Amino acid sequence: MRNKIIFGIALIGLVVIQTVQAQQSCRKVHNFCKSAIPDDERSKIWELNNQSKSATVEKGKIYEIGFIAYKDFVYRLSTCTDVEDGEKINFEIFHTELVRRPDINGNPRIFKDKVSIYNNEENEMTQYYKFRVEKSEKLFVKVNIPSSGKSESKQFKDSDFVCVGVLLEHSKAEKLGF
Amino acid sequence: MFLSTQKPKLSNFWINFSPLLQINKHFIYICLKTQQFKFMKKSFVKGLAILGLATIALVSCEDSSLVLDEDLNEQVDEDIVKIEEQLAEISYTVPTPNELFDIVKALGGELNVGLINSLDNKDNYVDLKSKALNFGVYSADLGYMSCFENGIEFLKYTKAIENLGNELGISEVFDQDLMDRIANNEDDFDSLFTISNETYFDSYLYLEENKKGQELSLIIIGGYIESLYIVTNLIEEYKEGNEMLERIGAQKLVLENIIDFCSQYADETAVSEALSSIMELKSVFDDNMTFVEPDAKAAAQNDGDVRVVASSGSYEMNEKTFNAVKAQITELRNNITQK
Repeated sequence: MRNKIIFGIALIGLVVIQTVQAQQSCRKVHNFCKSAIPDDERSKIWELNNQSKSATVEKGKIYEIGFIAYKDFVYRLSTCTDVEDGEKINFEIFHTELVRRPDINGNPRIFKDKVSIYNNEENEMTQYYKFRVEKSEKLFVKVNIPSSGKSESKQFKDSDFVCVGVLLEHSKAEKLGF
Repeated sequence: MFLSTQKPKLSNFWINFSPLLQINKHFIYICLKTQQFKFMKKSFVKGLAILGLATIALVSCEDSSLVLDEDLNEQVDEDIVKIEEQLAEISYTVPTPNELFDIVKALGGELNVGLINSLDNKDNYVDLKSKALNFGVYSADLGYMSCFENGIEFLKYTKAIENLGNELGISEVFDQDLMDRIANNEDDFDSLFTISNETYFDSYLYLEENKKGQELSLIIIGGYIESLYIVTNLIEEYKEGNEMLERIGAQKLVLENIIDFCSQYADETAVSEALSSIMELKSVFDDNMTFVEPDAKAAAQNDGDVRVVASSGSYEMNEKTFNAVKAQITELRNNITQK
């Protein structure tokens, strides 16, 4: 029994070490998402938004971030992983709609509904999206990490983990006085 | 859909990273709930020993927070029912104070150096909590000064932040290269603004990567409090139509993300105390803002190649909210800085 426990702990330890290494080596991977943006788009002035995120995620899983979009900026969101030859990344953006309607007891309440506003499947899986919001909003982006594809020359050789980046950039919306 | 059922309060310790641990959480809950705990104790303890070791290790790999939504649910306004799928873990992010200052400047806001925290206070911050909170405060001050092109104090404030950073274990961010960049750009305010933004972000990443969630949470809270304190105090009195008021109202959303983010570190006393303070501020927003019904005709449209997301229902500022937020944030800020 003792040997089994020791073996179990050792196994868990290996998983943890792999995961910790994975976490640490994805730093600022979001900066590489620019490679998915066409050259003519890159010429415009976009500032890195510090809500950009990089993380380590298991292949086939969903990675989701919640961020704030101010009405004063135009945003460009792009996604990337370090998987080579894999499926294109599918991402979907949601916003929160506040709606007053009756609850199950018939009392009026304000509900927060999470509603999809864009899915890149609608646009041939294009890896970036430009938008602005009429009012400052809380948005969510869900990134579906491809379950296949090689990353042998990348961070996680022979691993089920990949680096994923969500690059958020902003530029100033002209009509608001910038 | 969130449920209001009061589960036994379990530590975040159990609720991280893997479905296995999620099962573990519900397993404990069911055991307690059905009073079968004693009978299951023997096998439970064996499993607990192994899963406990795994959890201790895995906890440090945790990135975000199913638990955040659950904690939040307990604190959410009773009039609001959240409907959210919880299929994926969510990482909550927060805009830096610099973004807010950038907007405020464009709307006609001005520099008022009387609002920034004096460097005379810096030696009063001796415990980790006040060091981290005031690291955030001084970082926001730095962003404010560089945004409004006041470079006189920039290096002094950077030095103060560096000293606090050293004591918080993030000295790597403040290397010679950073100091050289500041010295070489002391008259270039755009560069100083960029540098202050990058320093904040690099500190954030360093703390996140090195599992210093407590310090990171406190820094974010300190930065938020200082930026909202400055912006609310730039407005002497409420005036209908002042666009800055709408931006102050939007800080409720930022506050919600901060609470979501920091709740994962709420087991730390300093974080839970700071969270409790900003929860009071959230209540001030929640209790006083006016709900505006969605415009039925609103629809998404395109502005060139940019999609314009139509707004739905929203909360708006009014005089009562502004005055209450201003009073509350001023008290919070003074509690942090006046030691």
